[in-house]
Amino acid sequence: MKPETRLGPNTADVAAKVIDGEAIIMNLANGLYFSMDEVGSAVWEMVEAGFSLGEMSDRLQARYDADRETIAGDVNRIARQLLDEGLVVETEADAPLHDGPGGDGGRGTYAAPTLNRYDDMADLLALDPPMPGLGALPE
Amino acid sequence: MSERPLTPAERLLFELSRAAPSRARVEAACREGGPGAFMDLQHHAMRHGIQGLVLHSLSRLQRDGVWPESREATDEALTRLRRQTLFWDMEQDRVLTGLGRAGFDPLVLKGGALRRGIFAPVERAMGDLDILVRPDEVSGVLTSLAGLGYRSEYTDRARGEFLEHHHHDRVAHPAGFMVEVHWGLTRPYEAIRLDPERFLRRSIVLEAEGSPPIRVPRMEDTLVHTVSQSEQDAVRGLRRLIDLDRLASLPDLDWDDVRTHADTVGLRGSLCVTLRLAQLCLGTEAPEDLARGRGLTPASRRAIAAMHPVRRLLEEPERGEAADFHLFRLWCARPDHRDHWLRTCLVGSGDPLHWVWLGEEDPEVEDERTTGLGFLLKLALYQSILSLANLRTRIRQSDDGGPGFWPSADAPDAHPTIQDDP
Repeated sequence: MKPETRLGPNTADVAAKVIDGEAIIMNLANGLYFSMDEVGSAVWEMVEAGFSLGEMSDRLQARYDADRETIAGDVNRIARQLLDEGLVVETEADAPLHDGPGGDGGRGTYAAPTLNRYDDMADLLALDPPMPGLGALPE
Repeated sequence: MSERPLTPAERLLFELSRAAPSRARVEAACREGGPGAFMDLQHHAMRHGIQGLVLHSLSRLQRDGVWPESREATDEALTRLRRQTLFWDMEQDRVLTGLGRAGFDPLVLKGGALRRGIFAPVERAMGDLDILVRPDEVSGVLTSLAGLGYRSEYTDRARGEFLEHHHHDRVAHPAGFMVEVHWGLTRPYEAIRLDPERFLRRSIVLEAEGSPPIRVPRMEDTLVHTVSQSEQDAVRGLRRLIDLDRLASLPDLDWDDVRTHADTVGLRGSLCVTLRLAQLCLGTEAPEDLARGRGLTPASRRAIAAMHPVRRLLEEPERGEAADFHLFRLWCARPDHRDHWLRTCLVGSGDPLHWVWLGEEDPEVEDERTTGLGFLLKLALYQSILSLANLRTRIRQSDDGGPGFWPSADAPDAHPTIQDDP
């Protein structure tokens, strides 16, 4: 993928939140959900902000102690995975929508972003089910 | 129901459901119950739909060294529940945003409202997202939900009957989410009627960081709605009592507004019973007149106490549950509502949606088990058995929410705790 490629969340099927440095992304089209840890969640926030892949790599290089080539390779790989899973789509925008996530000023330890895939969303939603049903009286 | 002391897991269930659990009482129950009590506690918590709340409370105590041997299991279960919470938060945002784009501004009811206004999200599970709209918006809202991937699990015939005999429709998303679209708050064939227009007119907006604002009922209305839900369950669910406990503790709650509303719709008896039960189980601070059951006749107070309301919360459903269910509701009801129910029962016109709940295709299937003279005789027999069984405990205070359920006139302490009793 080219450095100037911009991605955006596939809002028709996908909802996501970043909580405590972890991005949780659910794909309602197939009931799968995904998590990404610290660097991955930063990538996701930059996807939401409309950054190009090249701009993401620049931002990450400023925040983490890794070389540009490693970071760009990882960004490219994770972007491809996000596309393959239907979590993002390519956009026609030519600039970010906003500034995106801010760093804490220091340079953190870099860990290659990973996209973890889970298929137990329906099981989790069935935890702690509601009390009585729609309207049935007891037998 | 037989008398027996609460098990350690039951004591833990009540204690951890409180707004401020006592570390000493939790430690004592853990010591007594040992490792097996954790499984029992989880079982009780799941049955009442309060696993998140109980484990969240336990987890906070475990950080200070309480019951360390179950910490790993607590953390593991909480991780899954937090993830579930996050899914619901995201889906609620998605649904409300989608409906907003289509021009609808529904009122969020029950769990969706309470987890924003009262609880930490993981403490209040949601089985579905309940929204209230005006009747003329129902069709448009259901169309918008279809655009978001929601479909009905019922036949068109059943859904047509919902509009006439029910107060909401339910649609499900293949991923596992459900939305209930309410146009009313109570079943139209029942005597208790909550006015949805009142809820919409008096609604408030709650903000939250990272989510769109949501419109919810005023807290006094939510409290009365919670009592009506509890009444419909014949007060068998601890989750609703916990909702009530947290609502009752709000500093600016207008109790006069609650009393007036409850009196108007015929919920005074249920308000008293649920508040007293919450007071016994959770230490709820409730106005004295309500917690003492003023407004209920002496016969109702005695009959309700004889049904051991605390035990009913804890026991698994058993044979005769339908009789217990109806009898409890009858004793809580206002006399004119009781007459309404008896008339309805005698002419055999029970729940008109009975056939839907049974999964039948034929609306002519009538609810024969809970209507007719035979069922009334069954209720009378059940009442006689209860009365006889309680004769021996009438002259002494019971520690299980039986005949000693209501505070006596010479007992000024209106806040007993079951856990303190031997």
